[in-house]
Amino acid sequence: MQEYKYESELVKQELFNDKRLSKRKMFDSRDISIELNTLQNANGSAILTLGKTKVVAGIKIMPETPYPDTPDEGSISVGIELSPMSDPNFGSGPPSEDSIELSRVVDRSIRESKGLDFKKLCIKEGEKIWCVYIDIYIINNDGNLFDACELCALAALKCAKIPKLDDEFKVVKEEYDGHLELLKNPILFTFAKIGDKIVLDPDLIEECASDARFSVAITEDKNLVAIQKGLHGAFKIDEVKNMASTAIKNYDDVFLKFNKILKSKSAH
Amino acid sequence: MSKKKDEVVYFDEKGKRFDGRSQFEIRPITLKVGVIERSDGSAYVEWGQNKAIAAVYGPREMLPKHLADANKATIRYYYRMAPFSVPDRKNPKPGRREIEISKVSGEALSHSVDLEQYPNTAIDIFVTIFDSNAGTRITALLAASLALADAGLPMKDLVSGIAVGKAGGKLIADMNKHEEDASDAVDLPIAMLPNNNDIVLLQMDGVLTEKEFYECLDIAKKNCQEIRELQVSALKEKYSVDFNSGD
Amino acid sequence: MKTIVVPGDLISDKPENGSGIYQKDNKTYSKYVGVLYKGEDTQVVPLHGKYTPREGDMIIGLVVQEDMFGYIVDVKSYHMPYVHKRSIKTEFKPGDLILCQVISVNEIKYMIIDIQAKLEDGILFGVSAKKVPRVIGKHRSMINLLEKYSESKILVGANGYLFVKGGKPNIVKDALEVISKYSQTENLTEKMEGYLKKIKVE
Repeated sequence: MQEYKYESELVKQELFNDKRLSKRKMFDSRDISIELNTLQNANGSAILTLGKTKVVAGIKIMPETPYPDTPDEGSISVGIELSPMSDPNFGSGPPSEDSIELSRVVDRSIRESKGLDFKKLCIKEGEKIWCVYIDIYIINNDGNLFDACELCALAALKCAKIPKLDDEFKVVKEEYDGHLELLKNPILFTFAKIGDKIVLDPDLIEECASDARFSVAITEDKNLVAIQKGLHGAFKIDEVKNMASTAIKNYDDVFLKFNKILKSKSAH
Repeated sequence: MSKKKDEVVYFDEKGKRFDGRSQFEIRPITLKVGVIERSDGSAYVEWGQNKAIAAVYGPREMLPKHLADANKATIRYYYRMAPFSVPDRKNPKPGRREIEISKVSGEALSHSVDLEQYPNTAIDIFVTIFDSNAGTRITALLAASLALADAGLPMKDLVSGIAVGKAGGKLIADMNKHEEDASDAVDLPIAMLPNNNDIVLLQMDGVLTEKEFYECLDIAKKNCQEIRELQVSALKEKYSVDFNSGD
Repeated sequence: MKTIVVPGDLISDKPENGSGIYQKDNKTYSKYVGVLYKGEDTQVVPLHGKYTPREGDMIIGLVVQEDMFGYIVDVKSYHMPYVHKRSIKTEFKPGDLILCQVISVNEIKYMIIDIQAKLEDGILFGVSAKKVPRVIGKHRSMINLLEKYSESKILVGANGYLFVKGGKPNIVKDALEVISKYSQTENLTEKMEGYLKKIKVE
């Protein structure tokens, strides 16, 4: 993305004075908006914008065979497509290492928070369990796909319905049997290091200017449930402590805004 | 609720289809142009339950270079259905159906764009289906054609289309999934350049008499004219925003 | 009131001369989404699109690649021109910004460019090539306005790349976004003045 090399310099210049090009404060996230449950074939769906980044998550809850070592537990599966429609630099083809990293970080944020009780997703021990498939497509890339995707997945999960099964464990079309229960609300916070300054929720230009990335998922218990450091740069221990504490401090505010939007769209 | 297919009613005593439409009535269509900022051109179309989003990138250098056509641009059309867009979750990897649709759709659009203006380049069109209920390839084409126009490409005309068909013994326009399952179902997607009368996509599944086929073509032509008007409005709407210093 | 037409719209029942149009069966149709101008000539001026090179145009380029014999330059078009090292005296490297002139455009739309100068100590911004006339404005009214409020020197390439030096480039960036989005508004230059006064205060 060489055409952003110069705007990146501008970003660094502003940061010298602790100012961001986007006029946000150093640890302010962009505004979010959510369209909930508009996709009828999905069991739950959300279209989320974080600033100008736009992503869509669709949930399909399907009956599957359990893993042999966990015969009475359901599972989740997260797949994120860096769709070439969202950025001129994304190619079509099999998942890249970027899309795999993204998928796995979002997966860990949800899985490790223990928000889903996998034992409740058991249909018949040893035979059938529910697998919650979370598929996410990027529609427009304006930076920080990590936080956008995780929040979008969370929104979609919160309105997801469990399909009804017949006596042969086949899904009955267009009939449902209750909602998916989410016991925790993990929210991912991603920071970018630009020179020696750190900002929360980088947009595309800030991402291009950054050398290192740090993501941490926080739940309402103010615990950390998933962490990922990315890119070639490095963080000092104090910087890591600072980012973790900033994420914890910001949780309530972000969750409040998120919940308000969900309630206004009458989610479960 | 499991009825045998023959017991299903396709037309009630008032001649209404199961979703309340009349024989040739089409489902509501909404269109929006310029929805993906990063792209060169984009559009979003909802047709009934179908939801498609298209992005155009190009003309741009075609790589690998040896595949480029020295005389004109090459359209590369990628039609993809999201795993959650269908009742039974679909593997994200493109299947044979998507590949075939991509081929015929790309060919359809190639006729509408003045490709000779951009030799050795590629015009990439990415269309993703997020929700479906019969007629996705036409919904996708409507979006793709708008995205191409939005990208500023020289075109003969917009590409409009409709799936005409037959179910329960009668010809119908804009089938839905339920009608596709009829024992005598015929699915006939058609796309054309409405002001030019050029048919650029035509496929059929099922059995029709010669007379029925000609009737289908006439129904398609009439609808494509009307749908084109909707596409034109969507394109013009993007430029009708007014700017107030107060914003 | 401007008339906006789209590809395939019937412009005239007779064959007309002009640009952005085509003839079929002795009638004239639009080729683009654009503004229709009917005068001696009939013109449809596209509202958006990549840069189409014309001989003599002054454009701004970004060197993206270097090999043994030359450089590949991004000029916001659908093809990236190649400049041979033997035809220039200065050395460049990927990332350099350059001011060029389009020397010629051949039958397969490849352009030959001549590098006039290296552009240093400034920022690169981009707008759609078709919006450049709006960015410059009638008698340079818009660009003068931008330079006044940002206190920067702005060089506008015909291809849609801009080189901004000194002053407050973020004011230029904001203004360019607004111009791009509302390019069809009447009296845009006046409205921009109001907008720039407001954001200068912030």
